Amino acid sequence: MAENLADLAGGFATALTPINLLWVFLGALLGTAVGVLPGLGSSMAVALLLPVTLALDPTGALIMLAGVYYGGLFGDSITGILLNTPGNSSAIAATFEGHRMALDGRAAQALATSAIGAFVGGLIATTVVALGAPAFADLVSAFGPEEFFALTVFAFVATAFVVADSVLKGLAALVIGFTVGLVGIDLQTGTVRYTLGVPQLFDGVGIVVITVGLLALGEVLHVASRSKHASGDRLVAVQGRPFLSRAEFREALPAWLRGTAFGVPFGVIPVGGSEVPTFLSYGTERRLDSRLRVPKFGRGAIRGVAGPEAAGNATAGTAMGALLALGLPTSATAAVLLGAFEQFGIPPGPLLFEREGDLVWALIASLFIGLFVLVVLNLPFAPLWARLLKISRQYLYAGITVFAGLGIYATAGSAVDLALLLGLGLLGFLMRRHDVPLAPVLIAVILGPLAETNLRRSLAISEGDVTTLVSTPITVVIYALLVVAVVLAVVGKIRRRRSADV
Amino acid sequence: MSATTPGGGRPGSTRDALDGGSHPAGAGAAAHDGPPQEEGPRTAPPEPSRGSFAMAAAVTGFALFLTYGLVVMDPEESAEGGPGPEFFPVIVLVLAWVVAVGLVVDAVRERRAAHRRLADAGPRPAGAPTDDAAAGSAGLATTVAADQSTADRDTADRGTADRGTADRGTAQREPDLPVAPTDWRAMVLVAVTFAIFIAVLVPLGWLLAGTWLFWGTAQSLGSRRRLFDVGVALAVAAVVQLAFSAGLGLNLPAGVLAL
Repeated sequence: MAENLADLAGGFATALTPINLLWVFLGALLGTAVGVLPGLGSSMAVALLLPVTLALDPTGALIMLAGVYYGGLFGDSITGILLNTPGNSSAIAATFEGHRMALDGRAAQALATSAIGAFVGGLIATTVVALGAPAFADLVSAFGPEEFFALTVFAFVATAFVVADSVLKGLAALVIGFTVGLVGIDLQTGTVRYTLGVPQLFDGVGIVVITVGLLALGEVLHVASRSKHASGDRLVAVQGRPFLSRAEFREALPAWLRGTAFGVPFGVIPVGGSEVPTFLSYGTERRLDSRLRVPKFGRGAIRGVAGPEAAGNATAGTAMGALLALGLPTSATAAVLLGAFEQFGIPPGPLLFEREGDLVWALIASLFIGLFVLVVLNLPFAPLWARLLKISRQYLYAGITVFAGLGIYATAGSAVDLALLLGLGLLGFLMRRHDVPLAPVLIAVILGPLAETNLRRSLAISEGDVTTLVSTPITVVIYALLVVAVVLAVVGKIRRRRSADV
Repeated sequence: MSATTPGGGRPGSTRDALDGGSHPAGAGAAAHDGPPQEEGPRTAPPEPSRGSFAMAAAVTGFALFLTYGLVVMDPEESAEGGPGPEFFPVIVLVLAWVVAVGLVVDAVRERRAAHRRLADAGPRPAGAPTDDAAAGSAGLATTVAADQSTADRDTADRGTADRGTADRGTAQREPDLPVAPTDWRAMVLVAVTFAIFIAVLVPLGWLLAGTWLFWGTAQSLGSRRRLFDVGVALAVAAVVQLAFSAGLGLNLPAGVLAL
């Protein structure tokens, strides 16, 4: 433990250099901006900025992306509260009561509750990561191919079952991801697979192309197809002090902590992000509230904002830990971040803390710094951020399109990648249109090759004996946890459905 | 600093443009000044869903691609022994076909359910185009093909990424309330704009191609100010060129302007 603190102090020394502070600040700024804009979440922010960061050194780039990662989560609730349009699925739960608070003239309090909640959740989760991740990584370093295969299976099944509204749609998303991940030369034998003879595809389809295509261009096409949907929502003006009174703070505090308690464990479980814990937290607060003599839910309850918001950021925090220590992305954003690590030739996982200790600790330190930057950016300035919503939609999406095309061309420099980008954009449009989740695609693209390698390696060692996959206690535990997770997910889904019909 | 100038510069310049212009509307509402589209079809029952057929077709496409790739693959022996390079693709392929069949079954079932609902709701108003033939021709700004995913949405629990944009207000959550028509024209125009951008990027260079991309996308999305937008687009492309080439040292094609 003391060793961790020393490492962390070293990390702060790196992260607090002016240039790295600048990257955190810029990341937080850009992340919040993208998060505020409706329909754009932190996964897209990370995807769009990924090409830009390739020009930086790895430490600076990852520090900046970490700022973007948290920033998107702070920003999306601003839109939810003021416009009733959550920027991301993680902000939906906080929107119900948050928007009611805003309509009730308490927009400033709702924004403050959400910003502090995000801060508390993120801070506790990041502390857990800083203290626990190295030990976790030590544990994981004993894993063999069987264990890693079990982990990837866990990720696939959990995302397919939990993120999608129907399992079939989740599986469809996985199939698409697997297929895209298969393109390129097989690393174990050098066999050329699924390239259609196009030499540019021998190295596979770049993760940047996939994420920008599916998330950014797909969203633009989707927005275009829905441009006749006039939005009847009005932006609620923010008035009054942006801080909480002592009574309000005391009311929100237990909800922040309970939300964090929901969020922290869910960051390590690959169920596609923070949607499940935010709704679990929302449901809990609502149930607790209904026992009061004068229930506040439905009329703008402060706890209905505090709980989910803390849960969302706590999930994001420990998801970062799972990514660093396990190399396992538990959400779409984490999957994109994993892609970023791989771009720099730094594969996350148990060995990361040994091999790239300086970088990891600088990254963790900058997560802390990012949280402080974000709470400063968000508490007093939330009304300013809301003005971003006044940008004309045409220019906004035109800008995103230009940025997408530019980023892809600048990194790959080939028209093949741009054509792929367009194809993937159309695919992303189709999937959005039919409510097929995108997160499983990203997870399958990234973990598919890992699953394949580990599966083939296990079977090679066991000479074809399939029982090797469940031959160690750890694998049995992982598969058992998988069953528990699926059961929990089903329960959570039922609860969420119940709580969603407010 | 330079790393983010394009990102930071974009909102700035567009906001300036806004101040000079006359669009008071918020982020979502600027496109169409006509009467709110939701009013029109509110009483009409939803069209039979063909939504899942599109997804089934897409997954079938992937399954065919997997099958074709497996057939033409020239697998080499693994040095480590164990399963070869065709092992995992076979698993994915089986899964793909199962999912494709499942989606088709789902789509057929959904369609039947939608038909039943339709029958219950009484005769559907005449003249509502029903399929992609109308939508695909795309030249018609007035295509009113009801959103084919309506039925999808009715049954769906909808916890997806789409939620942020789709889930406004409570009206759409109630079953059988039609959503506004899909604007195929705008969507196709954006895609075509991007395709043209790919074609002209190298010959014309970033500055012109980028200007085209911004302008074309903004126009496709319903911006009314043709000339003014050219200025905005040129400014965006130029700022990006400066930031990326000068600032980050990334190479963008100069094209005809380099001569």
